[in-house]
Amino acid sequence: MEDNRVATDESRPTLLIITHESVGDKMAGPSVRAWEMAQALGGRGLDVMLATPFPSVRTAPNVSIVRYAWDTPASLEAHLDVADVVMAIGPVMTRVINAIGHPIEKPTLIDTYYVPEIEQILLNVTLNHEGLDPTSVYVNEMITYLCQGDFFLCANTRHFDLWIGALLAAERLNMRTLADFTVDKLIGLVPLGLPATPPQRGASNVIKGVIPGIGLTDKVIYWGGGIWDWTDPLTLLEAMRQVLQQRDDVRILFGALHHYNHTVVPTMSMARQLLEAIEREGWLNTRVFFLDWIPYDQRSHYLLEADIGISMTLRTIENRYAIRARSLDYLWTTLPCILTAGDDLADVLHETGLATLVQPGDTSAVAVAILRILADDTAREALRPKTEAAAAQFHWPAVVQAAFEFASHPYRAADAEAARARIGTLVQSRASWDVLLREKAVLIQEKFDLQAKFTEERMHLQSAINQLQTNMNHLQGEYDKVHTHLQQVENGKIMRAMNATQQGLNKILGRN
Amino acid sequence: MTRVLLISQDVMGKAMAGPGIRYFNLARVLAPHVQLTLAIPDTSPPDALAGEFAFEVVRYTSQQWPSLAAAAAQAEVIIFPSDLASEMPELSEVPACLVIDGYDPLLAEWLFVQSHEPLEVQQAQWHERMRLLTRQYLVGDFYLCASERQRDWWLGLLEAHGRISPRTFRQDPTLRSLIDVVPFGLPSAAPRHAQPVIKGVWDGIGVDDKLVLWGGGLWPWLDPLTAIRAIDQVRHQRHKVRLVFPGTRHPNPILAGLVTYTQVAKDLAATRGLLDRHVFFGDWLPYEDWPGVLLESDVALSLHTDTLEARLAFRSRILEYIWAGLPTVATQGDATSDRIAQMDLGVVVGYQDVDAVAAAIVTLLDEPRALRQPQFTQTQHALTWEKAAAPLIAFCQHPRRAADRAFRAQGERGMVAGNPFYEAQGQQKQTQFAAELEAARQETHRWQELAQRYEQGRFMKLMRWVKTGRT
Repeated sequence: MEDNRVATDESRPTLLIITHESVGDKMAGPSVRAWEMAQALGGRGLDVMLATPFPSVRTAPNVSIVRYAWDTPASLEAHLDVADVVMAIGPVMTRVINAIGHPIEKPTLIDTYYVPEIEQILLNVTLNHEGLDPTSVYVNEMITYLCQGDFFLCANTRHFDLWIGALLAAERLNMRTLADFTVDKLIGLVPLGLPATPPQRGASNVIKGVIPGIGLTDKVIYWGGGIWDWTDPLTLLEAMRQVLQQRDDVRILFGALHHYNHTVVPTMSMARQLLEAIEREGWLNTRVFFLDWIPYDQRSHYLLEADIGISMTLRTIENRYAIRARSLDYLWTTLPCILTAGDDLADVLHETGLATLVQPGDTSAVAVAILRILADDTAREALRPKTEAAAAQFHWPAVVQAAFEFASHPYRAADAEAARARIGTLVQSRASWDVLLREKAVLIQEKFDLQAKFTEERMHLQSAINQLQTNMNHLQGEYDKVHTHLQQVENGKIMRAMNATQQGLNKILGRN
Repeated sequence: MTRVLLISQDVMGKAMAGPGIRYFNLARVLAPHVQLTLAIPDTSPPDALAGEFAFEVVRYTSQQWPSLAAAAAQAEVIIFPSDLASEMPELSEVPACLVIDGYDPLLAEWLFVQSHEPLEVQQAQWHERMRLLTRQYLVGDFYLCASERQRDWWLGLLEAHGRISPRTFRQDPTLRSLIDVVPFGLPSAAPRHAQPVIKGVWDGIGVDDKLVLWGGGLWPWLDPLTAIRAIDQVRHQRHKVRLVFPGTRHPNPILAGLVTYTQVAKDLAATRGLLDRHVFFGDWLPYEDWPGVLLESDVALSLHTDTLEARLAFRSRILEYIWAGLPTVATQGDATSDRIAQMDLGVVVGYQDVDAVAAAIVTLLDEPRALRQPQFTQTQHALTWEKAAAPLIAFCQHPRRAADRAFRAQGERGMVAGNPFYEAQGQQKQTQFAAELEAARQETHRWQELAQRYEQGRFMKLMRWVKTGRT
């Protein structure tokens, strides 16, 4: 049996965490998780390198931030060379493998804390990419990172069950990895965490009396984060209409309209629908306000000043597997909140009494909950002991335990050799598909252009033909008239000729 | 009414194991809503299902497609256990909508079945099995599983096979119409005690003795040894306690060869002087005697070790304990123990915790049976077969193809790309893709030509007009 242990106990293992996002002021879900895990693991004695393709403004004592460029694979290889363990979310790991063109030999942690393929499908359905079904590509991407991983992290037990299904499909559950009939050496739980430090108020207000249109005594419903296509801000707007009939001091504040970095995620249609609905009501900057992705470190100022936290989503498969950072923010700051039921964090918050759960699209339930929460000023303080106890189990230094155990004593999975051996083919086929897909996309575009041009030409010609037809009809009419006339003339001639003949005959016959 | 073919892989008759019981009951509750044919293995006893049923019964030979072909050709919907997809690949060629029942992951069973082989042989067999299984993930129009946990697991499998796609998502964004939960239910009538089965009948078990029931088999992922050790403790406090393993032989010949704990358990009981005094082993009981056993029992046990099997298992025996209002000691970690804890139907214990099991048995033996009756009644009402099968009945009434089925028929290209089990078909895949690209090229050229012809056509028309105009 081969010895899979790589690092020795006496050396501090170097953990390389690769993110595709910027580690800056404003961060979205994946970079927040990468940053917080880097800090927590660094704080527990690991040498942590956090690699990002963007310039970084962030520093921490336990983390060294390094840069790489996607189009310079050597920049990735250089970091990989000095690492003892490598970690990334699944799609990023696949992208790294495709960039460098081969599997990573170092022990690898795959952070599967969300289900990227479901998000990709949702995005695809929204954007309605004609002719480009992403399914083949995502299966290829998924199998690639599933073959690369020596240890997988999932965020809750639902994910655990889903990922062991996926791992079975990738043949990562097999006689070697299941030797003791458990998957403890292959997958562990690392939930999304929240800071161990209590949230801080800002030196001065950041919302009330500051944002024009929101007064000091107004009540603020805060939507942490962006508007994604699986979110449901329209139900909140509908509820707002009912709420305003009861009290007019209520304001809605959205954290952002869409992801702060346009190059990473495009604006999606729910954001457009929301803007149109707000415009119809004439509520923009009177009842409804938008922030532009508040800096990560200042989010507690907003959360503590808000009166209600909210998170509404549609009834989709996303709901079951969602890990909502905004829910954790509400828990961290004991912000009474209204959440669409379905994900398991919603249940955790509901058990503390902090969250009111509603079914997708239940407008009246949302309105009733808003009015009820606003009617009780003392609730937030009373909830604090329970929410703080619940929050403690999500403190970052505690939740990273499974990742810490693997990274401090890294190993290659029992089937690592066979699993990695499959990656070569996957990378190869992915590369040739990319070429083919690009060519196909060009051809499809050309076809569409021609179709469009053809349609335009045909319409143009059709109207010309119609005009010609009219002209011809007119000419035909003219012709007919002339013809009739000629006939009449000819008829006249004949009559005259007949008359003349008759007269001639009469003469000849001497009938006169 | 929709013509539905329900295929049971398990034998039917007087002695039925979990799968047989499931298919018998699904047939029972489906029959009023559809025109149902139930196919059962011809290894079932000749008098199986001899009574009056509102469905037709046909017999087929395992792995012999011709024995099923006629019935399958008639059907608009075919419901079958997931493994049958690879055993009879012809199933996926028929025009009917296919409902694949994945209530039993069978993962642990396979691991344990082969664990005596050398590792290399095991790996090769495992790979071959995984390759065979792939078909079931690709051909289903609707999938069934037994719990929300299993649904998560299935969605992972389906996702890795490309079944979560824009097509299936557009059909139903919750994917409930791709896969839904059809657990096990309880019989609609309460259990009836026709005649004494064990107490006062089996040698060494008196009518006043306390019966601790181990209702299922002694599968290697279960933990009968902890049960025996616990009884060894309890007998000193409650002299009349009897632990009974009524069934130790699986009636399905396919699974009969599985290495079980039977001998080890008997040896342990014998070593401790418990055999036939406090611990009893029986043969498999006729299904009709089973209600009597449940009603005679005082406590039931559902103990397992900490393996992946437990995470996904749905233990149908537990539903029978609930049916009979029988308090249960269950090991943590499976969906069963969740339900017992949630509804307070017994005591949940840690893995291999002999002391805790012994203490729980004593507690449950001592408390009045009426104590948990309200919880049992409430749970019983929620767990009928009619309710359990509701998503399946709805599907059969309005059957429809999965939105990606036509897509899959195109050589299954999109669905399997990147899946390692199809690497052998990689070359073919590339050829298909190239062919598709060529088709796109030709399509473009066709449009180019059309446009060109039109340009010429317009000129011709113009010329004709000039001529006509002058004529």
